[in-house]
Amino acid sequence: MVTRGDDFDDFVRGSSTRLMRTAVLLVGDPAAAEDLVQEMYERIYVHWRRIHSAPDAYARKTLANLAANRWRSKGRKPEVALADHDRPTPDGSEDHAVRDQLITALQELPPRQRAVIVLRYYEDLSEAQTAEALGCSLGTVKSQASRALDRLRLITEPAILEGLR
Amino acid sequence: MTETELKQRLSADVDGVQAPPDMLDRARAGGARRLRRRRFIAAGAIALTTVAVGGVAITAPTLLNHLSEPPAASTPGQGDPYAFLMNGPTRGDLAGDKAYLDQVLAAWRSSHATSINHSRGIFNHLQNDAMVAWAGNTPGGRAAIVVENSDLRNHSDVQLYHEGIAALVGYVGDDKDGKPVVIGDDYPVPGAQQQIGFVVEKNDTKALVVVQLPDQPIGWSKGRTYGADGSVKQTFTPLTFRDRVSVVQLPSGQKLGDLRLNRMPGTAFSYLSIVNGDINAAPPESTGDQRLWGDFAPDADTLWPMTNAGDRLRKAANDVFNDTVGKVSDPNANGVAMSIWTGYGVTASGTSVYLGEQSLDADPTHVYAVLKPKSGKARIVNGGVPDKAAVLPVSIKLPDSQGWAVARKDAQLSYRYDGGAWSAARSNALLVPAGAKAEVRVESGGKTDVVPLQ
Repeated sequence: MVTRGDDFDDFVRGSSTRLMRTAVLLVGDPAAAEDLVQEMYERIYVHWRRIHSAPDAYARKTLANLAANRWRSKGRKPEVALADHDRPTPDGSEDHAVRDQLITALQELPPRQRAVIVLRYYEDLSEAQTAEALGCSLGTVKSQASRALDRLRLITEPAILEGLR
Repeated sequence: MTETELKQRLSADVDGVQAPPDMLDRARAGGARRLRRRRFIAAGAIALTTVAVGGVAITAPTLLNHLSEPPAASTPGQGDPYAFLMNGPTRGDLAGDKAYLDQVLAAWRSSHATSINHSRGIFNHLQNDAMVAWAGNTPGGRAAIVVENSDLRNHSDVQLYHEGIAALVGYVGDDKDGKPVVIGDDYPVPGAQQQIGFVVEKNDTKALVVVQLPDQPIGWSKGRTYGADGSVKQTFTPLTFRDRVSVVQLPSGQKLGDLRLNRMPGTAFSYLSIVNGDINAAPPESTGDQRLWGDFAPDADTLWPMTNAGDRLRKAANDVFNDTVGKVSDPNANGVAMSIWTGYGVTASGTSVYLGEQSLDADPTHVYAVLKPKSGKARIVNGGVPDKAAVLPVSIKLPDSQGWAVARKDAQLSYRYDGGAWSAARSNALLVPAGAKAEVRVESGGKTDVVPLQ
C-alpha cells in the first residue's frame, strides 16, 4: 500500500482549519466546505510526491477549482442562499446575524468573483497570486474584484454596509 | 469599504470554523482509496475485456454499485420540484402513442451512463418507476419529459436538501434520424440552477419546451437588448402552460445561448435554466476574453488622457466608467468583464467624458462613452460592438455637438478639420471637438492611416 510520510500529516494538521475557513467562504455551507476540503486533501495525497515542496499553492488552486467546478458542472449559476434548515444555528447576537448576512451575500456573487474576494481579502494573496490560483489574467482579477465589491454593496443589508464603510 | 475592513470582516465571519478532528484520517483514507480505485478501475477494464470474450455481461459501474450502501428509506420531500410530475397519467397529444412512449423510456434508460450527472450517483438507486409525464408534438418535432424516482445521496459537489427519494427528470427530443434521444436531465439540488426547459429541433424549426412550476409564473426571453443609452435589458414574456408544459416556437435564427427563463416579472436574479440553452449553450469560458483590449502588461498605464484638461479625473476614471455602465447593465449576467482601460477627458463645454468597454457572459464586448456634465445626470452613449481589426476600433459620436471620443491601443492619434493642420498627437485615446469634415490620423506599427469621423 502506498503511504505518505509525516510531512503530509504535518501539512494537513497545520492547514486544515485555515483551508476549512476558506472553503466555508467559497461555498457558504460548512458541510459542503468540509467535503470540499477532504476532496482537496485526497487529491494532494495522490500527488504528494510531486507537490510536497510547495503544497499551499496547490491546495489553494485545487480548492478554488473544486468550488468553481461545483458550480460549473451542475449549472451556471451561483449557489442560492442556504435553505433555512441548513443554516448555522444563530446564537442570538446581532453580530452573528450580520455575519450570517455577509456569508449569504458572498454566496450570491458569481463563483469567480467570490473566489477573487476570498483569495484576495481572506487568504491575503496578491493580485498576481490570485490570478495564478484562478488561472486567469491580472486584469480579470482586478475587474472581478471591483465588480464583486460593487455587488456586495448592492446585495447586503444596511447593517453590513455600515460595517463595511 | 477599505481592504483592511473587508479582511477583518471575512476573518470574523469564519473565526468559529474549525476543521473536524478526523480530517487527517479522512484525508489519508480517502487518498489511499483513490490510489487503490485507480488500480481497481484499470484492473476492471482488463477484466471486462476478458469476460466479454467469455460472453459474460458485467460492467465496472455494476461492480461499483455492489460496493454502495443500501438505499435509505425515504419518500419525496420538500424541495423536490419535479415530484408533482409523477402524479397522474401521461399528458400531451402523444400520450396514447405507446410505441413512442416505449422508445422514450428506452432512450431514458440508455442515457444514464453519458449523463453529466452520472458521476454524482443519481442513477445508482433508481426506483424503476420511470414514466413519461408528458409527450407531444411541437413545431420542433416530438418531445417528451420522463420522470423517475431515485434514492439520492450527497456527493462532494452535490449537497441535497435531504438524502432519500427524489424525482429525476429527463428531457427527450428526436435525433436527426427521428429517434428519441435524451437531451439532458436534472434532479433537485439546492444551490444550483433548476433546469426546467429544453429545445427541440426539426427541419430547422426550433421549439422551447418548459416544465410548469406550480404557482410560479414563468417567462422567457429571446436575449439581451443593448440600448443606445447604455442600458442592457432582458424582457420576459409570460409562458402559457397546458398539461403542465409550455411550448414556444422559436424565431428563425434564434441563438440558444441567448435564451433565458425567469420567474415573472423577470426582474429578479434567475435560477431557472434550459438544459441545452442559455448559459449552458454559450458558457463564457467557451469564447474566452471578449474584450477589445484585455491583455496589458502588469506595469502598463491603462488610464488614457484624451485632452490636456482633465487630470483631476484620472484617479477615479476607471471606477466612474465601470460603475456608471454597470448600474444600467443586465443584473442577470453570470460574468461581467469590465473595462481595464479607460479614456478620460473634458469637452469644451466642461463635460467630463470617460471611454471604455464592457463584455457580458459570452456576448461580444460593447464600447461606451460616459458623459458627466457640470450639472445634471450622467449619460451613457453606446458605441456598439467594436471591430477589432478596424484602423480605429473605437469611435463614438458624442451628443449635443460635443465631438467624438476615439481610441486605439498603442497608437498615436491626432485630428484635423477639412484638410487643415493636424493636432498634436496623443497616445491611445483622443477627444475630438466637433467640427466640419473631421478626420483622425492613426499611427501604429509604422503605418499611418486617416479615418474620417461620421
